[in-house]
Amino acid sequence: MQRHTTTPRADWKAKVEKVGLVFHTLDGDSGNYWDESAYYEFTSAEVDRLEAATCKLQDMCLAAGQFIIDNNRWSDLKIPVEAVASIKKTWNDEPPALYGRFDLAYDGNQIKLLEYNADTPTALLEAAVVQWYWLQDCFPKADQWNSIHEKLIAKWKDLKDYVSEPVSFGYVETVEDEFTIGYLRDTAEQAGIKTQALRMLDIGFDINTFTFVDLKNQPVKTLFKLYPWEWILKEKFGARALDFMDKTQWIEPIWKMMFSNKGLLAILWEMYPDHELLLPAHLDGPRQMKDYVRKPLLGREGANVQVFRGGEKEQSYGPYGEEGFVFQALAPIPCFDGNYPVLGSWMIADQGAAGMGIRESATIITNNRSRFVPHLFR
Amino acid sequence: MKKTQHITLGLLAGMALAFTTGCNRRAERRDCVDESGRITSEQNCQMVEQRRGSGYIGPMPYYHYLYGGSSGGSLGDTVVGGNPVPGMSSGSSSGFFGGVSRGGFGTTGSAGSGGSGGE
Repeated sequence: MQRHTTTPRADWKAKVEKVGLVFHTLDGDSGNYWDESAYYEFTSAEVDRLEAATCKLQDMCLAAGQFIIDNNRWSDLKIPVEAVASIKKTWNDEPPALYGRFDLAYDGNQIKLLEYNADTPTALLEAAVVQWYWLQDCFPKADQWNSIHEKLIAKWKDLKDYVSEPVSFGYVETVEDEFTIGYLRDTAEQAGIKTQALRMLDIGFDINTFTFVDLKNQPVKTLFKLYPWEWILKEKFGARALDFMDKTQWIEPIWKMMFSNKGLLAILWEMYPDHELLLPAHLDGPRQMKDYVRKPLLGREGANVQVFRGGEKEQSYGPYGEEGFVFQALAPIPCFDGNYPVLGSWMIADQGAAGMGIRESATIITNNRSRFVPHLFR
Repeated sequence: MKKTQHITLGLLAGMALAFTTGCNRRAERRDCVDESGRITSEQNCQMVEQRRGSGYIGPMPYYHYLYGGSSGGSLGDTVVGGNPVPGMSSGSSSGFFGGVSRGGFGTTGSAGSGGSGGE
């Protein structure tokens, strides 16, 4: 893996906006979120390794899901008792699921799992579309690990007979979420599925039929939601989502709560100690680790993370942590001229490992100020 | 070759165009609604306003305008979160109309708390 600096396209803002990345610049004076002043170059062999690692991790997570169920590890993950029956049922019934993103540390040698964003992963449009167009413009003869777009469409085609149309896409009113939802709707519609956007706030509950309804008071039979399950369950309609789970098909399904919880990292380490793709991780404290990271079980966007390294502590702040923490050994994230890259490896359900997006930060903690940097391989 | 061979964008390209040209900055919507908050013919509200303006005294049908809010946009759809005063709509769709309750999801992710639902 190499990092190269390069000159951005003269009209890069207009180009990325044209393909949907209207949120290319960070708020205030924090610079660009989409950063094509640099790119990462991989070898074909490296990409093959990353692809194989992603598939292996997916297999391990599926085994971990069964392990959590078989061993009733709900309290370790602080998963609410009332959600357990629905998690078990959806795990066994296998309703539609779409995607997930493994965040990996890669130093050119070791590949280590940092976490699995399996419920509401974003930075999708950037990885699937925007960096693809960048490659066409800048390095048309090079390759890129990125078949996310065609695999998403293929997956929706597989799901067409199993979903109810229009598929509603639930979202929060932020530009990033609206355009992420817009992109996912686009891929579904290219697969022949009718869709509609629906703010989470606008979802209604009909007390006569005990169904969730849209703004036309029509039943929401299939709901893709860019909204985490742990938020859903805490909100006013959370109990109804559980009570009437059979009336709405939720994508992602509620069993993803087992994967999006960072306690999964400790479960994996318990099942696969010393596995080459894993970092030591524990739920009961750092044990003998000296350099480690404390992450909230249900943290998001790098918030409330504490990094202990060489006897010193670095931390980020935020609203998370009340459910508890996982303690994970510090990953070998390389530093390129003060930039720390984390690889987001995309998994499309039943389609396999689909591609990669890279977020780069000025610190070891990736957060919502981190930049997206494109990649290629030769 | 590990990259997508061809990418065509439809819906997303339209969204991007609307955003960059400012066409998605919707003017505040105004709907004529009945006493249940359901969208009715614009003529009903015009008739009420004409009668008020002419000094009419007598029973007045309860039709009025709601500004902002959310609805399906068709006659008979319920408007939620609107306000009778222009420029005052909250955008929140919480409420209870015709056996349907809204606003039970989305509060954690609303502006000022959690923000984006993605990560």
